[in-house]
Amino acid sequence: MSSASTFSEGSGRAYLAFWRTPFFRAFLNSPSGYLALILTGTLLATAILAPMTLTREDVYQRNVRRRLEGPSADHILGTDNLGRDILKRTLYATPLTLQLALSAAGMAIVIGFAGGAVTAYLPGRLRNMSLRLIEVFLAFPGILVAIMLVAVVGTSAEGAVLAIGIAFSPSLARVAYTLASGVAGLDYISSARILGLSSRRIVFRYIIPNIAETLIVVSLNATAAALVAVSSLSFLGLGVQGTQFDWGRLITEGVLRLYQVPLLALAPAMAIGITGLTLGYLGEALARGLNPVLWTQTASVQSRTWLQRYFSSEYMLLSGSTLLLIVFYFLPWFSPDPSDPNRTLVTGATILAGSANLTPITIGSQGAMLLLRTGAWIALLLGFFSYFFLRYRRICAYLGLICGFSAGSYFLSFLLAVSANLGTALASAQLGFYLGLFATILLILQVISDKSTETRGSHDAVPALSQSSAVEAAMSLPQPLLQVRGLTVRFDLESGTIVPVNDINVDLAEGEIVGLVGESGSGKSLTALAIAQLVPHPGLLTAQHLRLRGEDITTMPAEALRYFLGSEMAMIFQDPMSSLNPALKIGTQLTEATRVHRRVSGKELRKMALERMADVHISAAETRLRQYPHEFSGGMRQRAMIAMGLMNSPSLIIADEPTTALDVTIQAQIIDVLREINREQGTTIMLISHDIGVIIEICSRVLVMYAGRIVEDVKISELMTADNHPYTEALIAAVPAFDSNRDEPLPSIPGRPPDLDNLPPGCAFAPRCKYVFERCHHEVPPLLRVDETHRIACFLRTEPPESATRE
Amino acid sequence: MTSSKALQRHKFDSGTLARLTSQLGPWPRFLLKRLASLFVVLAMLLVLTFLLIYLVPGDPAVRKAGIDASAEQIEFERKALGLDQPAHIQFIRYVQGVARLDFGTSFITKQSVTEILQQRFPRTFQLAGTGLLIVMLVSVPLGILVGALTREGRNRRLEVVFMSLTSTTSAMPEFLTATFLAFIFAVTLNWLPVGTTQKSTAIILPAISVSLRPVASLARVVRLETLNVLAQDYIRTARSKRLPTYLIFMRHLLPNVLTAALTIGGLVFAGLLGGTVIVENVFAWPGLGQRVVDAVFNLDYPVIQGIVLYFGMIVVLINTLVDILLALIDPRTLVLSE
Repeated sequence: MSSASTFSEGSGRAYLAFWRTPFFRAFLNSPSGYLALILTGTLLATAILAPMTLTREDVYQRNVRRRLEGPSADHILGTDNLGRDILKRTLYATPLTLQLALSAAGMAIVIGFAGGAVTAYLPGRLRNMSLRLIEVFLAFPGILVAIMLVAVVGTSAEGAVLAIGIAFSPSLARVAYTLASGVAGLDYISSARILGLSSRRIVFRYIIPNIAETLIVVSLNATAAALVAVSSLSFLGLGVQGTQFDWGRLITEGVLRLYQVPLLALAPAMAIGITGLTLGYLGEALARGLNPVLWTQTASVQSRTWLQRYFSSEYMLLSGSTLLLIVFYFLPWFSPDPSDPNRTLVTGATILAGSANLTPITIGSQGAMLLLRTGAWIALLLGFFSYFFLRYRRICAYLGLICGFSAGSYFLSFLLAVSANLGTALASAQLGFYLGLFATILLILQVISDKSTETRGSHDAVPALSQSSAVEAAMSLPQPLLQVRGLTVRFDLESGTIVPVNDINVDLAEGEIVGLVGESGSGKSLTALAIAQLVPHPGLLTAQHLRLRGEDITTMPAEALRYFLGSEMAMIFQDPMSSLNPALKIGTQLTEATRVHRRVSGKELRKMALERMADVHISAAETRLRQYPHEFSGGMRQRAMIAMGLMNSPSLIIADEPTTALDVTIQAQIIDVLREINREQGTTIMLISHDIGVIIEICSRVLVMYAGRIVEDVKISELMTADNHPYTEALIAAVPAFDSNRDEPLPSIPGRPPDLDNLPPGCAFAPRCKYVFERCHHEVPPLLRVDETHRIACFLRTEPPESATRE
Repeated sequence: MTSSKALQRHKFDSGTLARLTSQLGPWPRFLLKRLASLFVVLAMLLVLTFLLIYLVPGDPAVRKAGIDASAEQIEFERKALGLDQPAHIQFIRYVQGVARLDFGTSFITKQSVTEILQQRFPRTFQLAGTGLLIVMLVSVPLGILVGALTREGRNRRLEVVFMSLTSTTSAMPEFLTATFLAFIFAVTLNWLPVGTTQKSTAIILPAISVSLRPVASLARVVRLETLNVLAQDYIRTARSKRLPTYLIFMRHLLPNVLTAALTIGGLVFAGLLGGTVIVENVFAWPGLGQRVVDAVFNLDYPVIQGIVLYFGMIVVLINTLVDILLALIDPRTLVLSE
C-alpha cells in the first residue's frame, strides 16, 4: 500500500489514498478481500523469506537417527524418512512451486489468449476449423495431454511447465475467442471506429477495460489450475527432478509413509490447498474491484463498518468456524514444561477428549486448562450452530469468536512456553484476555444497534386490512359458481410488507364471461393465481372464503383440493411457447391431467383429446398430438393450450392474457374459440387482460382493478353509458377508435402507475385523478353497489360532495 | 410438409453430403452428421499420436534395441519398427495396425500394447465407471433437491452452505482429496483399505477421490438448472393442471434438467478420466493411468501412443453418446443441430 498520496481529503477530488479508491473499496467489500490480502501477503512473504532464512543444511542435512519422527519441539511437524524437518522443507519448496505454477500459467495465458484473439479475426472457414480443433482439445483430459507432452519435452521442471502451458492453452483460447468476438462486435466499438479513433486507442480505451475483469479471473483460475497440474506432474514423478523438490514431490514422499508420519504428506497438501484458496479469493476480490458497477454500490454500503459486514457475512462464519475446527484439531502442540522428559504430543482431539497429559506450569493452573477446553468446545459448537439459527446468529457468532479468541491465545501461550520464556507466555495470555474483552464490548454494541434497527423497522408493519365484505351480503345472484370474499395476498419482504391483492369480493355466475382489466402491476394476474391457489412464494393468501360450486377451497385438504380443482378449474396462460413443456409431446401434455384425475382407458383418452382438438379447430389432430410444441405455430399452441384446459370439462376457465403474445388475426381466432366454448359448453370464463378493447369485445361484465383492489364492477353495456370510475373512464379514453383524430396525440392516463411499496393513505388513484377532492386523500373508498349490476369504489360516484359535482 | 421443405433445400444446396442427408428424416440426418464429426476427430487423434514417434527425443530403434546394442541390432529394430519407410507409408501402417487393434509392443517389457490395454483397462474402467456412477447418482438428486429447497429465494442459509461447500470441493485437486481421504479413512479410522485391489472395499476410496470434484461442479450446475426450470412457465402450467408433485418433478422437471447435466456430462467425464491417472498413482491402483506414467518415464512410446489413443477414443465415444442421448431426451436438439 502506498502512503505517498494520503491525507488528501482537504484538497478535493484530486488524490485519493490507495485504500480510499473505489477499486480498493470494492476489493475489500467482502471478507474474501481481506482474506485475499492476508493470504497473498503471507504467501509472498514465505516465498521471499524462506530461501533467505533457511539454509541448504536446514532442508538437506540428513539425520538418520531422527527419521520419521512425529512432531516435537525441535521439529514442529516432525521429520521425514531421512530425518529432515517437514515444516522447513515445505516452506523451502514454496518459491519453486509458485515459480513453476506461475510460469506454466503465464505460458498458457500467452499462447491461449494470442491464439484465441487471432482465431476471432480469421476468415470464416479457417476460424471454424481452428475452433473445432480447440473444442477437440477441450474435450480431452488436460492432465493426459500434459503427460503426453512431458514424454515429448522430457521429464524435468521445465518440461512440466512447458507441457502444462501448452495443455492448458486451448481452454484459455476459447475464453479469449469468446471475449474477442463478443467485444469486437459491440455497438460502442463500431461507433468508436466511425468516430475515427485509432486501433490502438480502441484496444486500450474500449476493449481492454471491458474484458479486464474476465481476463483477470480467468488468469487467476488458470494459475490455480496450473499449480495443481504442476504439482500433479511432480507428484507422478514427471516434474521436478534430482535434489530439487516442490510440494507435489514432497507429497509423493509422504504418501508412501502415510501410515507412519501422516504430516509428511498432509503439510505440503495443505500448502497447495491454501495457495489454491488464496488465488480463488484474490480472483474474486480483484474482479469485484475492477467492476465499475460495484463502485457506486459499495459507496452506499459504506455506512456500515467493515466489521459489521465482516461478522454479518455468513461465509465468514462458516469458514471461520471450519478453520478453527481444522486448526484446533490438527495443529499439534506440546506439554509446556520443557524439562519434562515425557513431553507428549497434544492435539485438539486429545484436548477435547480430556485425555491430554498436560502439565501446565506458568499460566497453567488446572482452571486455565479447563477454560481452554470448554472455551474450545463452546467456540466450535456456537460457530457451527450459529449458522442455523438466524435470529441468534450474531450473538452466537460473537460468543463463538470470544471463546475462540481466548482459547486461541491460550494455545499460543502454550506454544510459546515451549520455546520462549515465561514473560512471553504470560503476555500472550493477557493478550487473549484483552481480545476477549474487546469482542465482548463489540458484542454488546452490536446487540444494542440490532435492537435499535429492529424497533425502527417495526412500524412499517402490515397495513390494516379492511373487512368490507359485510357490504357484500346483499349480493343477489342465486348460487354463484365462484364466490370470493375478502381475498388478500400479502408479501412479507425484508423491505416491508406489500399487499398486491387487497380484499377482493366478487361473484361469478355460471356461464358468464367476466373480464378483469387493469394496468400491469394492478394485481390482476396475482388475483387469478390466488383464486387458483397458485400464489408464488413468499406470498401469503388470506380469505374469508373462496367457494367454487359451493365448496370452500381455502379449507379443503390438499389432496382433495388437487382432484377438485383438477377437474373443475383450468388455466390458460399468456405465452403459449413458454407455457408448454418443450420436451414433451402435445398429446402427453394434453392428456396427463385427465389421466391423473380420472379413470379413463387409453383409447377413450385419445378420443377425448381428438375431440378437444377439434373443438379448438386444430386439423390433422392425430399427427398433431404426436408433435412437440416447437412444431406448432403460435396461435396453434395457444389453441392447444385451450384444448388442454378443456380436457376435464371444467366449470371455470381462468385465461390470463391469452392473446397478448399473439398477433392481431390470431388474437381474433383465440377470442372466437373462447366465445364458442362458452356458448356451447356453458363454461364460465374469467378473462384477464390489460386491453379493455379485447374485454369489451367478448365479456358481459368487467372488473376494473387498480393497485390491488377492484374499483369498479360493471356490465359492458353500462360501461360507457353510466357514471364510471374515473380510472375506468381514463382506460376507455386511452383506446384509439376508428374515428379518432390522428393529428391529436392519444390520450393517456397522466401520472405514474401506483407503487405498491408506497401507496397513498386514501384512494390509490387519487394522485392521478382529475376529480380528486379532499376526502380521497384520507379515506379508502369502499366498493359500493350503486344499482343492481354496478358496483363502484369512488366517493365521487357514491357520496358526491356538493362542491365536486361542478368540477 | 417437412418433405417438401427438404426438397426445396435440396435444390439450393450444393454439397454432396447435404444433398444426401437432406432427403433423410431428422434422425438419420442427425446420426450421419454425428458420425462424420466422430471420424474427423478420430483422424485427428490418429495423426497426433502418430507424430509422437517424431517428437519423442532420441532414436526409437536405439531405445528398443538397448543402449549397448550393436549397429546391426539397431538396424534390425529400425526395420522391424518400419522406421526405414517414408513417413506416409509409416502412417498407413500405423492406421492399419490400429484398425487391427495392434498398437505395437512395449520397448521395455516386450509385452504387446493390446495385452497391456486388456490387462489394465478393466481396472481403469472399474474406477472411472464407479466414479461416473457416483457422480450421476449423487450430483443430480443433490442438485435437484437443493434447487427445489432453495427455489424463489427460500432457505438462504442452505444455499450459502451448499455454495461454499461445492466451491471448496470443486477447487480441490484429486491427489489432495485422495491423500486426505486416505489419511482419514485408512490411516486414522482404519475403516477402509488402500494400496490393494484384493478386497472389494478397496475401490471405495479411489472412486470417491475421483468423483468428488465432478460431483461438486455438476451438483452446482444441476441446482442452477433446477432453479431455472422451476421458474419456467410450463412448470406453472403443470401445477395449474394439479398434477401430483412427483409427476411435476419426474416428467416436467427432470428431462429438462438432465439435458443441462448431460451437456456438461461429457466434459465431466473427461475430467474424471484425467483424475483416474492421478488417483491410480496415489492408491497404487493398477490401471492405465499408472502404466502411462511408467511409459513416459521410460519413453516407451508405443505404450504412450496406445494408451493416449485409447483414452481419446473413449472420450470421443462418450461425447457422441451424450449427444445422441441429448437428442433422445430433448427433441429440439435435432432441429438446433442443423
